[in-house]
Amino acid sequence: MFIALRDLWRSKLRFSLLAGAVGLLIFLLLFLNTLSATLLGFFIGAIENNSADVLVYEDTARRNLQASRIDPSVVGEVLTVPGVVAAAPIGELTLTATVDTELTDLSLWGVDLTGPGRPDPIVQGRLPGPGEVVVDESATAEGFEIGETITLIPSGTELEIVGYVQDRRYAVVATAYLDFTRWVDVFEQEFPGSPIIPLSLVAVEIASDEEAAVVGDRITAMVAGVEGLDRVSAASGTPGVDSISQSFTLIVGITFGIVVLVVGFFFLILTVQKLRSFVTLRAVGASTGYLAGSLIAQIIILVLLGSVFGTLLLMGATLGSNPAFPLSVDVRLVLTVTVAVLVFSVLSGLLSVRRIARADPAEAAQGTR
Amino acid sequence: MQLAIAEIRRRRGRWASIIGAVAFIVFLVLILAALADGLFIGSTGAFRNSDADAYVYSADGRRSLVRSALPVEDLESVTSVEGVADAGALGILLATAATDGDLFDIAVIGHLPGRVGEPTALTAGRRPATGEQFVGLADMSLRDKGIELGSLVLLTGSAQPVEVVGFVSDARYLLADTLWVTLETWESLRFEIRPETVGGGSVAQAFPIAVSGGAGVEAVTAAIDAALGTTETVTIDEAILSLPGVEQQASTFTAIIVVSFVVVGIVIALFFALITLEKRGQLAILKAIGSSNYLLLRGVLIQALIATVAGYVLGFALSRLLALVLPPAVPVEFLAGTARTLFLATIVMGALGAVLSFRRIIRIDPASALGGEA
Repeated sequence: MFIALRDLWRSKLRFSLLAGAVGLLIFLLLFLNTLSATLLGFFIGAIENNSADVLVYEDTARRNLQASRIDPSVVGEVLTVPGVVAAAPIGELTLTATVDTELTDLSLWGVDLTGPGRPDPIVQGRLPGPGEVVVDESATAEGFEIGETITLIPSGTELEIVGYVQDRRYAVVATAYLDFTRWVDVFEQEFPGSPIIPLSLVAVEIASDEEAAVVGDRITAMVAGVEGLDRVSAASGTPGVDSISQSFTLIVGITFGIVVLVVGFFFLILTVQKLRSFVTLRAVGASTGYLAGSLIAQIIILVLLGSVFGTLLLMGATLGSNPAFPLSVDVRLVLTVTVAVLVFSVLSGLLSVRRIARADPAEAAQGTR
Repeated sequence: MQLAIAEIRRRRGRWASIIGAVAFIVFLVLILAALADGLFIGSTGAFRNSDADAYVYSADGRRSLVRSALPVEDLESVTSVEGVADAGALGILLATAATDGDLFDIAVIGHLPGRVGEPTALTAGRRPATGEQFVGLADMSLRDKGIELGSLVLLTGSAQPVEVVGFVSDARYLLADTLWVTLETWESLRFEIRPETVGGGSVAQAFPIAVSGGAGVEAVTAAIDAALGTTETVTIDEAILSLPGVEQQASTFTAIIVVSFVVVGIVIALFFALITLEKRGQLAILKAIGSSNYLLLRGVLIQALIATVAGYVLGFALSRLLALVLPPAVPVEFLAGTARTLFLATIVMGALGAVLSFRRIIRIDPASALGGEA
């Protein structure tokens, strides 16, 4: 062990360059993961973390909430399906609004405040009454704070913010929730003279002994023109989610491969370069296990240094991130990535260990180069 | 030169691994760049492939085609603003459509045929005539959905299908395949599929405008906003960057690609630092028998060049192989121009990495060749 540290100390530049490269790559891994998690959370948080067990879409909407348009009478039909305890309408409208005199986009959800699909839990403040809304907490970055008033454009309707929910953003814009009947008023003001008030979804609460996916399928089968989905399928089925998560998985996978390759490759070169010294050490009695231990210790130190460096870079990046798209350092993610890189780097280091094990201590006595 | 190449040949394993490392990073960068290009092209075609100089939106539409609404009558006022050579109108309807029972997303875009703002690249068939109802131009991407000239596209919620009379290329909008119909057809479809919009009356969602020669685009956009009072007019470049996600995607991908290139540089630098260290003895001997610094440095540069070029070629091949097996949900697009830029960047970073070991080589004392151990 002692020899491993001495070696590191004697070739500081070389190891710091390598630790720098590993750090940059770990930063890339962390950054990509953080980015994709935040992006997906902003995109479908309102669906993934909905308080309903099953969400019902129009069957031709291709699981796209904004394309889904359901006749209000469907709520009653869904309620007759066995296993359904409660059903409530959800309406969604994406609007332009001003808050604090700034123009911004707003996704406005009309829900049954006590039924399935309700904004729950309220993490701060209270449920909205008439003329009031609760907003997703992430929208505070855009000025949506408790006590502020949202003005809808062009109707001029005013809504006061009285509470926050968490992880309930939709379509990457600020998201607000209010009572469904108030939402209908807003809809009528936005689309004067509209002959219909289409629902976006029907939110369903199921009996405690039922499974969401099963009840969803049952609704699909029994009610004409709709598709019932559990939250997870609804979230992952949203158009675009596939593209985003697959693209990121691909990039993260390749980056991970490169980290491991770079670490394994450099230790192999170092080992080949130091083979004579290793042979000598073995000739004077150092066991393969001892030498392998030193090598692995160096890899671990290097990856840990790289991870610290990568995390620092990530912190820098999150500090500099756009307040409208706040990235934060997830400790669990840092640990997972570090451990994964560590394990695979050590595995790739085994190539070098094999080289050491195969070296014949007798060569040291030959004195040839 | 000969020495540099002979060395690579004699130590194939080691050079294969450095080439492999470079190839992997190049592979990552190429895939990322293809993804960035694919997202950009698929999101912005409807705007990029237009002859408009600027777009007029309603002020409360926040530069969003979907959200903006302008009374069609305002088109006259826009046309009469000095410096406006031509003005068209656009409207968008995001819908689903079916051919043979398979549903897919489609963006129906209403436009004025023959006016500015229509998709420029007609690849087959003809354009709709002014005012012609229920015929349209399909983006080439719709061919994958089985749509051909003469196909009837039925939108969900509509009773009357649209006949495809022509194809345009590279005219997608936010990754959706587009169908370009006359503004009149678009309005009928919109009223039918989204009955709540009837009350809003006849609207367009943007006016693409062409500026007459000699007039400055900035001045004309300002003049339009001043004349109408309720609009926000932006240049075509601003309109493209204002599409949701486009600017963020571009900056994210650029950041990742830059980091990757720094890693390429570090990897090459480390590699040459290591082999230089190892060859100190031989290099001293070479110097002692008369090799100039110049000759040795040139050898290192040539080796770096060979490693990066070979790495690039391998990475390039890998990326094309991957493209063959990628699911269609991943929107990659390989462009020759991007490949060229990245090739140059790889070589430059490789050379920079190699240059870092120059100092080491120059400092080697030829006299040390006599000292036995280097």
